[in-house]
Amino acid sequence: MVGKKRKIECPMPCRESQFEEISGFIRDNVAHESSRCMYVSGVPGTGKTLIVQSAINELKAHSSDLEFNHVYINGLTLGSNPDKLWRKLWKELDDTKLAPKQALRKLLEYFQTREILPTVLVVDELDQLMDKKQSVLYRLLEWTTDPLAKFTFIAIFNTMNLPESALVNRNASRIGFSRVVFPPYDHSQLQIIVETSLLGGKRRKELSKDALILLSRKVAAISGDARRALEIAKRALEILETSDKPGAKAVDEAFKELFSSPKIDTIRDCTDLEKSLLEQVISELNRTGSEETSYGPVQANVLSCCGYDGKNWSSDNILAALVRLVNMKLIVMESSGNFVSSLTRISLNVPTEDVKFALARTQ
Amino acid sequence: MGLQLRSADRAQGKITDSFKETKTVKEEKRRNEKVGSKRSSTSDDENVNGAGAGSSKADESEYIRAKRALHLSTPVSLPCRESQVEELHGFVKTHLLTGNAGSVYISGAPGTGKTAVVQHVLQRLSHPESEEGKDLKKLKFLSVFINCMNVHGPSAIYNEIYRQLHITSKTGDVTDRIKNRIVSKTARPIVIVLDEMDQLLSGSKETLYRIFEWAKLPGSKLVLIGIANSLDLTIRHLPLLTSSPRLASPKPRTPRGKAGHVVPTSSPNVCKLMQFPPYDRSAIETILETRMIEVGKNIFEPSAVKFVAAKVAATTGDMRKALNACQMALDTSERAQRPILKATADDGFNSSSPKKGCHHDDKIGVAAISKVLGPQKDDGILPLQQKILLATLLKINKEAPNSIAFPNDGVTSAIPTASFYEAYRKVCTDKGFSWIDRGELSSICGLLEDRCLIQVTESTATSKKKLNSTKTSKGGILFQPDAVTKMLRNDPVVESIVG
Repeated sequence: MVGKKRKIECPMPCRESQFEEISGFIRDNVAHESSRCMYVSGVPGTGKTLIVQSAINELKAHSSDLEFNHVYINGLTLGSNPDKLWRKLWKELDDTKLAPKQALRKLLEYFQTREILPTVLVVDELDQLMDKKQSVLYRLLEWTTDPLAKFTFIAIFNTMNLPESALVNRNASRIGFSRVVFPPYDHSQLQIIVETSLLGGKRRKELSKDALILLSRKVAAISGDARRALEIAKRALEILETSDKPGAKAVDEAFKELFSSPKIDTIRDCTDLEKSLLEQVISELNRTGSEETSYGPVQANVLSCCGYDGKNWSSDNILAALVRLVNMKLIVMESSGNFVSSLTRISLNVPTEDVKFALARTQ
Repeated sequence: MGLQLRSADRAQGKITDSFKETKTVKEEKRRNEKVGSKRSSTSDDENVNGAGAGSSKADESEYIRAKRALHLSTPVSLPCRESQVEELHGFVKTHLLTGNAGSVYISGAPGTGKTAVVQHVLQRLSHPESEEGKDLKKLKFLSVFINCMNVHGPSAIYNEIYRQLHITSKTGDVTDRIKNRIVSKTARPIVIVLDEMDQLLSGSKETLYRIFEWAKLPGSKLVLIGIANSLDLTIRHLPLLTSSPRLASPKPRTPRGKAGHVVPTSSPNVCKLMQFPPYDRSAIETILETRMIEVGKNIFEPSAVKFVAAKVAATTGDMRKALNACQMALDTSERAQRPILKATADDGFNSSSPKKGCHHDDKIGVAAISKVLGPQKDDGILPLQQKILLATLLKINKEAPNSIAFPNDGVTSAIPTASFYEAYRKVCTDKGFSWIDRGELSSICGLLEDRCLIQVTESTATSKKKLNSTKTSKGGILFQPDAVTKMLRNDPVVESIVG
């Protein structure tokens, strides 16, 4: 009773209602020994996994009257074989390693036993279990319809309408309606999150208020991803520690570092000859309307263009430039030994727009 | 404590042993349980807890009882499925009594009570004491229940049947042994239930054929019950079994050694077909009301029950959906009650009966249900850039009929990413917003895709390239203008862009 009265705190600001809902759901299920399913959806970086995990941990720590087995499985760790889930689940419950099929048989028996503790299974990145038959998901959902199994299943995924669109009929029938949605953070929430998470560390420099506002507004305008915001804040602090820039400037720099695309920068830093070659490849692609072209006409075009520009490039120079671009993986070349002929097929490995964009900016 | 429990378990095991053959599968499983006994011996305190919970059951709140009553597993009674229960019961019973073989295929949409009816019938047949039929007392049969979702591959299903049949003979391979057991004159008749039978159809159909053939062997005492969703599974995949009464083998390779014994039977041993229709409105109402009788008090307003029934019957007729919706409504209203409960518990007046707060007269009305069943609302917090992107799409869409550059409507054919980005940049410069790079654009499009607002299509050429190529620019964006417009209604930013 003492444990019950203690107020369970949400570990993260701005997610109190979701935390309350999830921990209440788990507590109800465990206390009443019922089997239910809940799904948690939201775009990346909105705290889904963290909130679910901390809700369970808090329940474990502070409610001594609630006893349950807790298993967390990330769908991404299963690789291409969702059946591995049985192995992991069984290992957590019984601490023995079995092949997936045997583990499933053991689990089927296990969940028919009367004396078992309630089980809370969290499956993160549920999309990974979506193979054609969805048999793994079916089994999990089947337990959630069986009161004897005392099975609480919490599914975490990004896509909003996964239950409606991606599930086969028999699974859609079983999944139920308990759903918690994690919306993206807005700028004031991001600001609070960054502030609170930066409080703990001992740092020589701090982000100024306006730097914080700039950072949270920028991230909120794009994605509302708290992970991203914290990453940028950390990088900005690192920049601040090595230089004497104002906070807002450091944030700006960190932003550029994390967001700028290396390919565009690479193209921007190419030599004039390489740029000219890229331009000719694009125009050749546009002219033919296909995905790839041959080296011959490109070379001829570069040669004739350099005449206009008053540049004196030989065909050897152009070939060398091509090889450099191929090495940078900006251009993909059909490999026919080491020999490049005028018929060798080449194509761009970067979106045409990106190349155009990068070239336009430099001129 | 642990020892005592273990011996008690063993004693119980002995009792079950003697009744082994009549037990239903669930109990069989429990008997075979090794993990369970291990668990119970290691966690004694849990058992104590369990006892405590049992004693406190008397003062459980209505919510908990109601929630329990709305469970999704096999219910005690099956209202609105009486005719199916009787039909199946009669079928299985006569076949078991006469010792004839037979097969049933049950089809129906998910949540229409197929599995529940079968389990109910088997339960009734295996406990004839409670029933009127005295002749069933001498009837002992062995039932095998297999959910085909749980087994992988044909050999696994044979092994599972073999395991559940407790076959002792050691001659021949597994299928032969099962076959010998089925046609054995002395042994008890067998009922095999294949739930989610369509799973056996992946790969060769031989497995399914062979199992259905068992029910056609002369002298076979097997009653086979197949359950699946599709109505025409037998017609599409097992035409030989349903159409012709003669035994036809799908492949010339009949099981070894037994081919000579297979003689076409003259009895019309055709697979019986049963279809479970989706629950209609009154059926769902009746079921929910029956469940509420178990609670003792109707916690839902009659109109709310009607509402659930109408809604569910109109879309799927899936009983699970109806029960789930009611559970959810219970959850939400219980949560609404909780703060009051806490307050009374804290000020010390009600310390003896903290559940008192739950004894209220408010029933759950239509509003609570409609919140659950209604369309899922997106909370509408969209980052600014995502709003601009969507607004750009709407703008393109609006101008589409008169524009040569964007001949697409966004629904049927994709708006090319390249031209979309240009339009977006133009919007940004016109309205004075800062813009984002192409790279970020694709990541944001991914986020919007996660929220089901747009759909990004990729060019088919991407997969052709061997070297680790990036996405090409040939992809496009599809979206539902209506849904997006609805979501962004009254947003000043969007309105200023779309105009």
